Amino acid sequence: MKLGESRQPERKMRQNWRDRIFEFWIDLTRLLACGGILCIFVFLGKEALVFLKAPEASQSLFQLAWFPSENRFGIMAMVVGSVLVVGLSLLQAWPIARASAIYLGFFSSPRTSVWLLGSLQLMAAIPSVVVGLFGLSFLLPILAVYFPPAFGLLVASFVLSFVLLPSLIINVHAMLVIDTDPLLEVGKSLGISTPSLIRKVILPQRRRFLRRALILGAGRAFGETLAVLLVAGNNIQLPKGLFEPFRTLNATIALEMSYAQGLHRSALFFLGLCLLLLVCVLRFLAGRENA
Amino acid sequence: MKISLYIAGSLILWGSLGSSAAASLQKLTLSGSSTLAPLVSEIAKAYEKNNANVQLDVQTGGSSKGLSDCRDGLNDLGMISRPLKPEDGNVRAVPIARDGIAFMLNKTNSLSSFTGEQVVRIFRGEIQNWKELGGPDQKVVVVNKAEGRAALELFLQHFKLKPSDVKASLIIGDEEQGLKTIASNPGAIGYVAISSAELASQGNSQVKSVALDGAIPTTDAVLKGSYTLVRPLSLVQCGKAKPAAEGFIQFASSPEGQKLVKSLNYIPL
Repeated sequence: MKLGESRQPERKMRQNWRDRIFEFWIDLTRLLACGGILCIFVFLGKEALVFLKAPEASQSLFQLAWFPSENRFGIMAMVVGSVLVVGLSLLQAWPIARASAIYLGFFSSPRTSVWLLGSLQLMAAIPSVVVGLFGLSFLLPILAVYFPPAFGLLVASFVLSFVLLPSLIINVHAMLVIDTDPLLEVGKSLGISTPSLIRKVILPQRRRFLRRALILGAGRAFGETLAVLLVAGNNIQLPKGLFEPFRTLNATIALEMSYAQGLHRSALFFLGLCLLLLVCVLRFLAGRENA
Repeated sequence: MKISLYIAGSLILWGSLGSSAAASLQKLTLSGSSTLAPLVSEIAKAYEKNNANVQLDVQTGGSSKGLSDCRDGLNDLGMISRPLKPEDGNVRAVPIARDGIAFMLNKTNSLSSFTGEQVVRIFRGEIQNWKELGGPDQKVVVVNKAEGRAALELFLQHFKLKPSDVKASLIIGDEEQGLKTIASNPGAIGYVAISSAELASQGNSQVKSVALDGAIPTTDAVLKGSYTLVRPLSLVQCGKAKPAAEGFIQFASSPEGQKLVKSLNYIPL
């Protein structure tokens, strides 16, 4: 309501019914979005509460062993697996994404940029499971000769970074090029070379925008299930090396939900809640300055 | 105007649907094993098509729930994926299908037969290299099924293992993923349903099934009784059966029902 009051003078000028409908539509979508997220929290929380109340949960929750049929529900190995694979994949994808975006924004000719961005959009549309299958049937057989069984962190993070890269580049590019034309012109007239202009002016100025793109990428990485599931090996353990199998939280939900019953089932809902909380923590770590 | 017409129209439509359906509908509730549920749901669909006045509701919850619901009269038929035990009391079990598992190796592995004891040692992680069994000098990669899968349950039951006894290096979900995993790993050993194993062994795939205690896992071998890593999947019924339930049991055992059993990769009777 406050918003409406502050807009009063403007409103009187063009207060026709089309505007009203438009505003109503915006409010409705906002309400739906907030309500949807709230519903997910409430629903997951309700299902997970059954698990949290059970004595088995508190006994084994922070352990490594996950054997639902023996009433052992340790989630730590999976949390570590999820965090590790996302971290490693961003470590690979982020430098490439930043460099590609800088090239697209400032060094390539406009024609090339259009073509490259178009093909990137096409790549972003590749279903992630296809990338996972590529890893499973092409990368793994080659690596399995040298590092059997080869399933594990390295291949999974590589596949995941491949899934992330196209949209990451597009996002970073969008964050970098908005309103940089005046900066570039002023820089040129001062005789500053484009590379140092980018390094010293544009990148520092855009730091928090870039961070936002990174967080978006990380959120997507946490959500990616199938591509990782296909190449992770999915054994529940703390991976001791790059070629050691591991399991992510979402992989457990995908693998076990269709057969889970009772406490096992609510434990899987609790895993979903953990995933949601992980992404929320990430969002708050990113800071609120861009709100 | 238009909207009110729509509302009135849909009200009339739904109302008429409701009243006609309520006339002579017989409801059957089935509950129990999640292994059987997909099969029974398919058979139920076919049965409903033939008998328009019967409606089946298939719920999962495990074999023991199927039995206890049956005794308490909460369902009309229970579904169980294990043989009846003496302590189950006076219930009637009618097998409608079977399922079994076959062990699979990568094609490059020269071994082709295991004893049950060797299988247990492999899956317990006591055999680390195929050399120890006379195979190639290759690390053993144990491929196990994810918790809750029916094949895992059967495997553990047959070899009397606990889930935590199995020292797996890779965990897989469905059969297709399992076969791909074994195909891409020279040292892998895993298990899949017999029908999937038969399909995969045909053609030029990278996997092969292995004999267990000398018996080759094929549908024929199961039908002849020479391959024993199988279990019956049955419908159970307590007390007096509804005519529709009796009809459903007969339909499931009929050639038409058994054809569905085969098409869904279970082994017919």
